[in-house]
Amino acid sequence: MDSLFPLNLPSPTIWYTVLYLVTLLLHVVFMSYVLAGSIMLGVAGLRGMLGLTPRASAWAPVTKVLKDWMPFALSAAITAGIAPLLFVQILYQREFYTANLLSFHRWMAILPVLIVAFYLLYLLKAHRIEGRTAVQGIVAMLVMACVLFVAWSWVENHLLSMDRAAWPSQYESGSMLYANPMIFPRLGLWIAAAFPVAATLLLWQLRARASSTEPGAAAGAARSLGLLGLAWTLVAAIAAWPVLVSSAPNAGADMSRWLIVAEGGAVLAVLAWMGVAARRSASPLLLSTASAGCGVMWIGIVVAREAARWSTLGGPAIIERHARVGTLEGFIVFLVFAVLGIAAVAWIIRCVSKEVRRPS
Amino acid sequence: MTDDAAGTLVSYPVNDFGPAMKGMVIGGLGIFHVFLAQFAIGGGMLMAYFQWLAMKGKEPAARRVLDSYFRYLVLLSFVVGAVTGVAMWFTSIQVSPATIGKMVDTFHWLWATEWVFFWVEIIAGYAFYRYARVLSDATRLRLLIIYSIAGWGSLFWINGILSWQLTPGEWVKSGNIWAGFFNATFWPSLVYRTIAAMVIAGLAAAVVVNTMPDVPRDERGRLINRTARFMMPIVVMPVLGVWFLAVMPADSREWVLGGSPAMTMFMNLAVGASVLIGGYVVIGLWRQKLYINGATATLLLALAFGATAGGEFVREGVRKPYSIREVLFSNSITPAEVARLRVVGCTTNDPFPLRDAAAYANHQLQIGALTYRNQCSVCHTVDGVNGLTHLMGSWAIDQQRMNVAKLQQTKGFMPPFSGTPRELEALVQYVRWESAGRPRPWEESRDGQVLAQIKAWLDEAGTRPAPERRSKSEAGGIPTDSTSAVASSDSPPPSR
Repeated sequence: MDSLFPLNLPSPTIWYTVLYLVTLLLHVVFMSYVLAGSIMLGVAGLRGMLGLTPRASAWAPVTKVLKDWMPFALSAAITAGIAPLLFVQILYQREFYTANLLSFHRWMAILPVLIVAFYLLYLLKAHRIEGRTAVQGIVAMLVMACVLFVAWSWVENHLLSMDRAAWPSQYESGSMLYANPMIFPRLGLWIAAAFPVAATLLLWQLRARASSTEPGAAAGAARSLGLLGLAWTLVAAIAAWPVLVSSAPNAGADMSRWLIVAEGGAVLAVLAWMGVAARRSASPLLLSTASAGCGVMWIGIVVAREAARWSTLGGPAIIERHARVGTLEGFIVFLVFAVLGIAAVAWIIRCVSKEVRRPS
Repeated sequence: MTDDAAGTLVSYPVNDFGPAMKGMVIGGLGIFHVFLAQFAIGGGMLMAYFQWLAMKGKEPAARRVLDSYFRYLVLLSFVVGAVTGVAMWFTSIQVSPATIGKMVDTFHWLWATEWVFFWVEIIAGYAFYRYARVLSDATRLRLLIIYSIAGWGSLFWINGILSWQLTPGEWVKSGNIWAGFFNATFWPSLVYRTIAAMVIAGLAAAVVVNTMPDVPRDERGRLINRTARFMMPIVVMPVLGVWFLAVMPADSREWVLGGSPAMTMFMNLAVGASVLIGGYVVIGLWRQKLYINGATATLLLALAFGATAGGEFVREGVRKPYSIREVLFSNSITPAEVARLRVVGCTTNDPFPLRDAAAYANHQLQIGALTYRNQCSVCHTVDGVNGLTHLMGSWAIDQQRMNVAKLQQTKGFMPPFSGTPRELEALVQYVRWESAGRPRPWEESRDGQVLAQIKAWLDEAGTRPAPERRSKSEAGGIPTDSTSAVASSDSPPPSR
């Protein structure tokens, strides 16, 4: 039996691929919260504008937490995104750069859009617009539009980077939009898979602030998030296989093995979501199971996606490039500071949590 | 077009920024980003200082500044700083993918290390922003110290990478990244930027203090005097400036000290603004303990922005003709590639067609446009900022041919021309056609004697950049490269 992708590649390529995947997964945690969270806020905002939200909505505690934490989540998503952005430049430099250049202004637009989204999130959190349903609704929908634009741009960029044959004609046309029938199915897959992660994180957050949430509202929120997680995990599980396989039919076993892993994770998550929805509460065991299921599902998805990319772009030239660029000079420094950094972050979280919980 | 680490040419699509020079785009964004990032770094240090003053009872009002001012710091630096940092990466890709690619290839572990610092910075900053009011003084101070160290650490790493572009030092020969990282301009640049960060933060704090009318005037005066003390390292800046000038390459120093009017002007802008700020801080705020109102503080902050802009312009400009000294010319061609491109041509293997091929009057003009795109467009436009029609329009045709063929001698900060005589002639014809208002028809220039003369000029100029040629000739002769062998004394005279 062949080794599992990416372990069947030469060592420098394995090294950078694994680092890319690990850091991408960290980014996925925050990205999912922002992507699904912005959609939840946008939909809630629209419902509020249309007068469709009952006063005692089960979503009220959820939107409250989202408004409070989305600015930080967006900052964290951007920060977490820097490392995979770095490693993709090692792995597929020519392809990534070319896709950026071909999309030009339309690609660069994601940066001001992110800044706008960030300030809109603070505006959404501001006391000044509390109770002003129309304003809140518009702001929330603008945030959703900004985040969806960024997500769409990334999917388009990824597919364009893989389509070498299209580069000359894309450049000649001067178009900053790349047409590919797989863009929206892939975007849909990312959105679907983001919801279960966001639901899990929100349930952990609601659990942490259980003392400040009314029990009835907490139960309603748990049920709603459980059902949301359940529905979207099923959608992601069903969509993952056709969406990823159709974009790289030659990936074969490299991809299908990881898709099986993704489906296994989805099954685990579905079981946990069913428990959460039925019990209207999220016990640590159920939440841990949902977290593990989502984690495994995402591992399967991102590695399968990478296998698809490798089956299209990989080859002797790119392997040779990795071997040439690959160097351990500086790695020890990175490792040492990574350990120190993790220790510093752990200390901050522990110390601040302790003092915040301390009775005043 | 670039040369990756294997020496294989990689063609990238080249975008047209219209009348704006690409350097202006990245320079403008860079100045904005650097100013914000330095503000965030210095802000962290100032916060730690004010927290210490407050908890030691030396300045009770410092706590109020801390709790109000930090919100702005967080809002500005967290995301705009981070996003403009990513924007710098993306813009660098747009302007010169070869340069940023080489930087990433060489220093990816150090960039990854910087990423760790970003994380610590964001977690410490957000923890303070969100929970400072319920935290003990000791924890507040520790958080701010961690935030400051992380912020300064990110400056430490990026400073090494940026200063390497100008003075890569022994790395060029050994390939050892530490030799490149701790290069000749690393320390003066790092200390200079650290002090700049402190001054920007101090001036911003002076603005914020003036937005707190509930703090009595005498307390505000004391707080401003504290910020003046915090900014006192500004007195060292002239020494650091001289140190930086002393260790930069001699030819780069010449540009700054009068060789290039634009660079000299920006250098003077940076120096003049810094002197004004320094004088006000040391004599007015610290020595005479003057009060500074919001308007004056804002004006000084604007001057600091001007100083940053001037400094960054000089830092970018003095690298010419390189984007990475001795490794990559600003047009993304390596010194080693020039001789080969003189034979095979710079447009031959370009897979990206012209977007408007039908708009050109003949095939030669299309080649000229491609040559312009591959060799000139990174720093020039056709008729906008630094436009070729403005720079070359008044030259006679043979002057145009010779000046481009001997480009590195025509202007010392230009790289050598890297194409065939046909491409050079096509470029000249393209510039003339553009200068004439793109008329149709336009006759192709096919005179063999003209091409032979261009070749002779190219060979005379050689394939090396000007400063290297000068130093080699000083050391005992200019080495002959492969293409110069064709140069002969009986080259035919120019025919047009």
